[in-house]
Amino acid sequence: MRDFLESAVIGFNSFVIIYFLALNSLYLLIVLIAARAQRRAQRMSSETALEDLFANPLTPGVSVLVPAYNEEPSIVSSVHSILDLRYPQLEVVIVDDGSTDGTFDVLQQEFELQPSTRVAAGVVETVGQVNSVHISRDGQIVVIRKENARRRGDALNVALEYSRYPLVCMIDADSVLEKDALMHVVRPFVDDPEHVAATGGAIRPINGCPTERGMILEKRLPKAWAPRIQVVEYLRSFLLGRVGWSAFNGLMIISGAFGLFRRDLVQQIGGLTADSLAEDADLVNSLHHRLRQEKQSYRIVFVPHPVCWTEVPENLKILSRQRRRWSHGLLEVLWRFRGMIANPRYGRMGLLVLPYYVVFELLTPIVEILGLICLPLGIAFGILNWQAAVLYALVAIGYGILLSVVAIVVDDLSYQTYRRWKDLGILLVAAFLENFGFRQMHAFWRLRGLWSGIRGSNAAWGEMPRVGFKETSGASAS
Amino acid sequence: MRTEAILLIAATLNLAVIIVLSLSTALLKARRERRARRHEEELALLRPVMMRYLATWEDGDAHDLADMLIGYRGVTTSFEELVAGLLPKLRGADRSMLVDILRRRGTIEEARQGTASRRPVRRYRAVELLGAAGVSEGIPEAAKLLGDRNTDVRLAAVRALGRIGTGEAGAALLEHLDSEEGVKHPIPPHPVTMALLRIGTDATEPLIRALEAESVEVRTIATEVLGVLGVYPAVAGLQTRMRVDPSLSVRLGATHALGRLSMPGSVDDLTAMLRTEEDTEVLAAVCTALGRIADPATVPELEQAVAHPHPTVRVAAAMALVPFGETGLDRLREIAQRDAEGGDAAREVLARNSIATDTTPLISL
Repeated sequence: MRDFLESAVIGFNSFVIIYFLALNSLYLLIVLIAARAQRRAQRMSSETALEDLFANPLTPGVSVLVPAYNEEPSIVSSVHSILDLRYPQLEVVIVDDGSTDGTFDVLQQEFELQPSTRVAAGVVETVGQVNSVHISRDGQIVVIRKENARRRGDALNVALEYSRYPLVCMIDADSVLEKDALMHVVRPFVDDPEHVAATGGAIRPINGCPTERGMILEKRLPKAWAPRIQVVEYLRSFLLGRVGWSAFNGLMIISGAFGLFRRDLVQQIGGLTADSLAEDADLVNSLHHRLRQEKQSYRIVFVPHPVCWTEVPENLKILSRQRRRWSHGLLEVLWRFRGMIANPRYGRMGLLVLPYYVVFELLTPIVEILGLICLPLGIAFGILNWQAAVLYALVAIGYGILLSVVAIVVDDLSYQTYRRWKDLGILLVAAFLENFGFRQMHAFWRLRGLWSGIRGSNAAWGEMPRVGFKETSGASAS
Repeated sequence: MRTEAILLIAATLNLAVIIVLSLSTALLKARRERRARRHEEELALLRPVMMRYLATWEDGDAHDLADMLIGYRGVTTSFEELVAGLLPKLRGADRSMLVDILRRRGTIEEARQGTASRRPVRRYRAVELLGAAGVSEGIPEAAKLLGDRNTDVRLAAVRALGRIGTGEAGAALLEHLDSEEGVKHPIPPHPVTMALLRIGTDATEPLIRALEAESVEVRTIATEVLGVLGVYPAVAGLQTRMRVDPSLSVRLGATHALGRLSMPGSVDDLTAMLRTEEDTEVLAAVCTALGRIADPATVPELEQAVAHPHPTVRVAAAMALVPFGETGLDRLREIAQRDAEGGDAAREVLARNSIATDTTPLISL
């Protein structure tokens, strides 16, 4: 019996170490591919291309869709930041998704909204009943008040119904976009309109950055360690990971915080899946599914230029809720598109990307938590000696840190977003600290999300209390 | 024991790589900061000389200053950055003077040669510079890069030709597009359209010729650009394209163009299309075009179109009634009373119109 237990523990620990080596090696490969793509994109960046885009009367109009639920502290800043964007033709469609705070009141007061009888296109089905539509005098802002359906996807579908431009940009109400953000993400559509179906912009945490009327005055790191660690996470997976997958045309997720889509294609697939917890990933996969089935040549592109800044949770309770939702959402999406997994009909999406997400994203928390349980058990029962256990842990953790350091280095070489020496030091420390406590908690949150997904719990789109942006003018919300 | 040794080596190696990477980043950051400081110093030296040169072009000093600028050899990057920043902001004589300096420094010649480089980044930068300088001697090199194997380089060549901005550059773009059927590295049509619009009326002749091109893409582009540029001599050609072209996109482009040109002579063709065309996108474009021309005789036709089964056509037809003034608005108000047959579209357009034209202050002072 003891022999069996010994073999099982040693075998499982070997499996865990091989699993994490494989995961991190694969990720390192993606990051290196991304670094190459990013370097080339930067050396071939063109201000003239953006100028031409801005000056041209044929540049497609963009409807910016903003679902808002209890966003009173930051909604006005967000809308200002959208209106201040350098883009020739845009409208902002905000859906007040049954907010119980003063979201609509602050919007009405700031933008002098008038009731409107604008009608919906009637192409996409929606759930929550629309109560009223309001429009600003210049027609650039449309606010739709609707009943809350507890799903962000439904709010976006309503916004889609009331939008009028050929491109729709979906953003979070707490997102702040850089001045040229839309130009950067629209450019692939203009350069290759027949093939580009969607583009996603790079996202960074805004916590700690002073802002004024929705514009970032200085790029700084957050004060607390939890959001600082999230900056490293965003660099690693949101920025470089997605650039790497984009190079394969295998982008599975465009963050809900900032994505641009062809409106006709989104309408053709019936809009967003209203009851999905990961409606952003669901939408991108629906596009892959549809376009691959129709054997169309298409591209879903990630724009690495840092363009969108969003508030990340500072509080561990909110963070755990967010990560549980992501994990639950990922399971939902992979389950919904299970027919694509390992199916050659769906090309690299079916054979490479989705299997990667199943093995290395969905199952990681299970392997990590079991590894965390087995290691001390092995030591306690004398199956593993503590030196070997420490070395196992050091290799697994060290490789993770290495990956984060590579991401920080690539980002610093490419964009120099954080200019202060202190910030570079903090990022390196955060890359180290992430592995001691945060990573284990994260695995636990993800496991809980997975469990609620397996049980089929009716998890709703959670509320994330906003602290509002750090307005230098003193207009900061509580 | 063996496994432990391997693990120890791996952990040590890992740590070493992390330390090396962190230190190299710090070193690179320090070097970057040093370079940025030197760059600022160079710019501080160059900028006033450049400004004086541009301000004193009529004086005898200009030659001395030009010689001075040409003589700064060790500051190529800063010089090119300064010029790249200034070129888009300058017009006329100032721009010519700046380009003259670039020619005398040999930068233009270098860029022309750079278009043949094996490195895509070099080709890209070279053609960007030729475009920014707007020098017509760069047209053959830029045109050659339209077939480059690198997408970014091809697109940069398209933009450069648009910025050079002569009829010859426009013809090069259209000819390349017309001849590239089946080629391995095609250029997408939209950037070509944008470049042609930038060239403007200088490209009229090749554009009118392009209405008869073999390629559907080229004909579509020609219709769009001619409409936006408002080229009246193209009306006959556009009417023919709208009526007889087998391609939907060309018919659509021609319809849009005729609407933009607002020529009353197109009314008969447009109303005939309203009766015969089946594609809803073209129908919506026809309605928009009729609205722009605003011939009172077309009101009943548009009124019928407001009841079309497709919402795009309904809204386009309702919006087309607005430019007819009170006559059109009265018709819309009447239609808005109905539950079906376009009532929704009429109500939406009336609402939009009331917001757009209402100038009453929200709060009476």
